[in-house]
Amino acid sequence: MKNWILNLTILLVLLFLVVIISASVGSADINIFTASKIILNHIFGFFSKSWSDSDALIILSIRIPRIILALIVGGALSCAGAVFQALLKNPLADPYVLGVSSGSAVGACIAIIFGLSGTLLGLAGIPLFAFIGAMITITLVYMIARDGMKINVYTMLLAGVICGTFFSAVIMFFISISASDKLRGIMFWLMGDLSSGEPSSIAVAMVVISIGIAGMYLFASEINLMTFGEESAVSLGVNVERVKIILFVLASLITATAVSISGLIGFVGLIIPHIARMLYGPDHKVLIPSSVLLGSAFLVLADTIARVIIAPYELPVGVVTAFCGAPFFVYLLKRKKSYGYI
Amino acid sequence: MNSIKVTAALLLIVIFLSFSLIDASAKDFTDEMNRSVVLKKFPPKRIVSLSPSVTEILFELGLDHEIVGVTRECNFPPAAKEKAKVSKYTSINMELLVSIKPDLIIVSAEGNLKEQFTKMERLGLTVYAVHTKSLDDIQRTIVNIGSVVGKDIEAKALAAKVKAKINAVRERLKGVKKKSVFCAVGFNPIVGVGPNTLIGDVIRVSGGENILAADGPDYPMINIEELYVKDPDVLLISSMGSEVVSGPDDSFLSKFADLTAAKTGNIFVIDSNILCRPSYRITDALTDIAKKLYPDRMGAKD
Repeated sequence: MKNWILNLTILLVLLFLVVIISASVGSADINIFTASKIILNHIFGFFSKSWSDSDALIILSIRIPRIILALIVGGALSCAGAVFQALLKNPLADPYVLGVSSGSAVGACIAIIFGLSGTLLGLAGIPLFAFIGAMITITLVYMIARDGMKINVYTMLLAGVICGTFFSAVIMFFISISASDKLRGIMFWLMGDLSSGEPSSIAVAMVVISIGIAGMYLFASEINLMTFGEESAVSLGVNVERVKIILFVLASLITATAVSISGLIGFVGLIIPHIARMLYGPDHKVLIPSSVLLGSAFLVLADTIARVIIAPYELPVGVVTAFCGAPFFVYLLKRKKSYGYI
Repeated sequence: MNSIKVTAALLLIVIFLSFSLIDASAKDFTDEMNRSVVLKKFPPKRIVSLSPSVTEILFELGLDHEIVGVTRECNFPPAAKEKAKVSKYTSINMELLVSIKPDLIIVSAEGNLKEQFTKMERLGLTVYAVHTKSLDDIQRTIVNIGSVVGKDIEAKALAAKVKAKINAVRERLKGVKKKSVFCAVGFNPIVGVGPNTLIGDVIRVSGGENILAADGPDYPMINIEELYVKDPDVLLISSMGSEVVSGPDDSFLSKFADLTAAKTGNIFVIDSNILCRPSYRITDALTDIAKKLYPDRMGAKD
């Protein structure tokens, strides 16, 4: 446990450094001291102003919201990935495995094509409809997989894959019949994008995702027991069916929230939980918080690379996550040969 | 007490000064998306164009020095390539945009995403949107851009020139027997262009009858069977290269070998940089296509 506190501290310092670095690099030339001063001054307000208005605008209104979005989306996706991998007993599971991604994409497509708008609890426009699409998908998958009061995880996995495939076809259908100006909006959304989050949506997402992650963490010891087999967990007094449903709902909820504000960002939710497991072991009390912190740091870093590497243009962040994440993962896999996924 | 008085006095002076500054140079406009736009500085000294067609028009209006940012796709006139590039396709580099401190950003409803207009405005930037889908729209857009950048006279002259060229083509083609036309903007798969587009408008004015229906999608994927059924007189192919005018390869053309258009030598490649941009240069594409469709009427030899 002492070791874990040290590791946690290291992760927090790493996250802090990544955020500061990310806030001070970009197309506009603002050095790390000015960037730090602008941020500290915004929070505490004790520096005399030695920067221009446009510098402050760039740091506070462009870079910081984007970093916060990357932090919460990265944390949400890798936490959901860790939980899905444990629940479905499948190392290939990721936050999108139950079709949430395609479902929310259909919601977004419908909103873009028909120009729908609306506001609910701070989520507005496309994010709102993406969220509704994700929720409908989850309900559908759950109803397919439900057998009385029980859910079979393998049926659920298959139901998720089938719903995902079906909704992908719906997306392709929309893309082929829609007008060109709508099409651009759809493609933009499907590629995954951290640059266009609205501050109000980011705030709502942060609350929902924090609650979801905290909720899942409360069941960390139940998850640990369930990974040894559902029967043994039942014999140890775990209400397996109830825990499963709660965890599926929470993991899907935070995935849906993340997807609805950032589009589809691949790889983070698949690989970060594995990396956390290799570094810190399979105990979910450690795995969940470390996945969240690693996922946040990784996505902020990946997004920073995405926006500076071919500046003044940007790469889709998914390109960077896969391009940097995959080789690193192979390295860890080779180094730690005896790795079991749970 | 004293310091409060001084502060209050200073504040009044600042407010007074800023009001007088606003009065001196602020100006209100309504853009082509019916949004109200307030220019804090008029005429604007630092202008960013987020559309290749707008860039062409701005340069033609003689604003070489005022243009401080363009898109990666802005390749005409050659001087545009020297300007700072703040976007590619629909992705805009917001922090670069803010850091070059533009007085005015001109965007197009066709080439930019509407969510981005509001995002830029939230960052305190001034955004004027143009909406250009036809030959008539181009003339209106030129005049509107002229008024928002303070070049009314030049813009009206340019719009008149465009109008004269379009009318000249109309005049020459009066009473001509229409030819059926299919225009492809994509090769693999074949993507056509419907009548309710700028290209559709150009085809109509140059005496062509689009084989695609007006109520269909603007840019539909087309089954090659459809082409053999409709068998258009003329096949126009928009070049896809960004710099070089390049047509499709032979394997693509061989698919059309049995069409009437192929047998009669009526397959033409058109420069997409001119055909697809709603700029004043569209008249070049119009004249070009009209000459290809009706060489006798248009006097293609001269």
